[in-house]
Amino acid sequence: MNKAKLILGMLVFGSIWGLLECTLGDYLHETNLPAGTIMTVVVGLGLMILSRSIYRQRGMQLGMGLIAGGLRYVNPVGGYLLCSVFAIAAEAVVFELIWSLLDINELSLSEKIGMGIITGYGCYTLGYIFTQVATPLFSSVPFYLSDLISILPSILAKGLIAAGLGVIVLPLATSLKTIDIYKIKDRFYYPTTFVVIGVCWLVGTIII
Amino acid sequence: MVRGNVISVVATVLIAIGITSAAYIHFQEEETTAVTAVGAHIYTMEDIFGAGEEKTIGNYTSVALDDVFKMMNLKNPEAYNYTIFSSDGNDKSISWMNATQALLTNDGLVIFSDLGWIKNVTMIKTGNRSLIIFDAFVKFWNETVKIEEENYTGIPLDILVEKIGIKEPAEYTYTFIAVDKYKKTVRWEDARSGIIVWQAETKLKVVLPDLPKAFWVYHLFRLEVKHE
Repeated sequence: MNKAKLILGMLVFGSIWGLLECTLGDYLHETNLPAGTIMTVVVGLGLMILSRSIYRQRGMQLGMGLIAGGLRYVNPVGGYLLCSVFAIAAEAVVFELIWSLLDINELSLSEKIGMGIITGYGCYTLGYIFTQVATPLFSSVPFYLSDLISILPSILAKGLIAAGLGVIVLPLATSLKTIDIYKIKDRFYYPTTFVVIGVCWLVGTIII
Repeated sequence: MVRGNVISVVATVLIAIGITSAAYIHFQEEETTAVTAVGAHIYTMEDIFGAGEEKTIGNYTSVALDDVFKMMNLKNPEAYNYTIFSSDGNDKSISWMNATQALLTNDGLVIFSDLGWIKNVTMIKTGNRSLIIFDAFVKFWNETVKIEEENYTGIPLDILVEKIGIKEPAEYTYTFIAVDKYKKTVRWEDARSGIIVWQAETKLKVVLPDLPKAFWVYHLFRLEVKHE
């Protein structure tokens, strides 16, 4: 894989993820829908699975998470959003750990369904727990273990919705893999990726 | 084959953990009181209506006021006089006997059979004990604070803490608990600029401008004040 193409791909997917966190994420948080679960599984996990099945490169999704978290952090709307940044980064780390030994494109449908449960549940619950621990530590507020213990059953129970969404998102995202990245001509690939990245950051940091 | 079996087992275990946790939450015994360390009892209207017996005065049927007074856990509640505080300043002192002929409605109205009524009731006090009707307090208190270009109307935490009767707020920690048990504990220095508001979508919500939004507890159901 051409490294420049891979890095640009990482920037494209990470920027789209970050922009959706700034727009759709903020909108969903104002509604009564399970915003965290939808953003984690449908958006975050969906984009990570799609990019992994297209580029087949381990580590790329961690980079995507950092880029998405970065865009979320510099987004001027929404105020102090350290927790969202941690959630996005933690989700990418958990994804990399879960998929460190598996190739998405080699799985059967039943295996994809099982991995949808594992990845959806794992990314949501571990990301949530990590956020609850990291946010106080990085914002000079004391961390109270009793707070985390008391909400643990709730986090583990809400993970069921994430697991259910994972069952749909994982097979769906892998089936969307219609682009063969090796066949795209450089003269189309580079300008297109630059435009997408530019638009995402422009909209995410200035316009919104 | 082995890979498929491992995936199935792990997925099943995670589903089982999720279902067990959901069942644990569902069957968890509901607490009904939130007693602070300073002799103040803080309840929501829901707590109050779950604890008292119904009484009818004229066209109104609601919780008996003497049952509300009993929630302050006094040894001989009949022996005390009580002051009922209203957000519009029409406070009234009454005896236990008066309370036995009165009721409290869920929109904060106390109706007596012979003493008229008091509206927008937020708190009841006797001696050094107080009963705060938490959601009424927030609903009827109309202080507006501007945070990040948005106006929030409710009761600022420094006023609430003062009304509860806490003299040295920095000596306590403040735990905000949501209906789904989401819980955040903060120190006074982080809570002092906060405000509790009432919104249709989020019901009671604590806004803490100095802290990340993860600390802003929505669907707030209880505030626990503990000595550090």
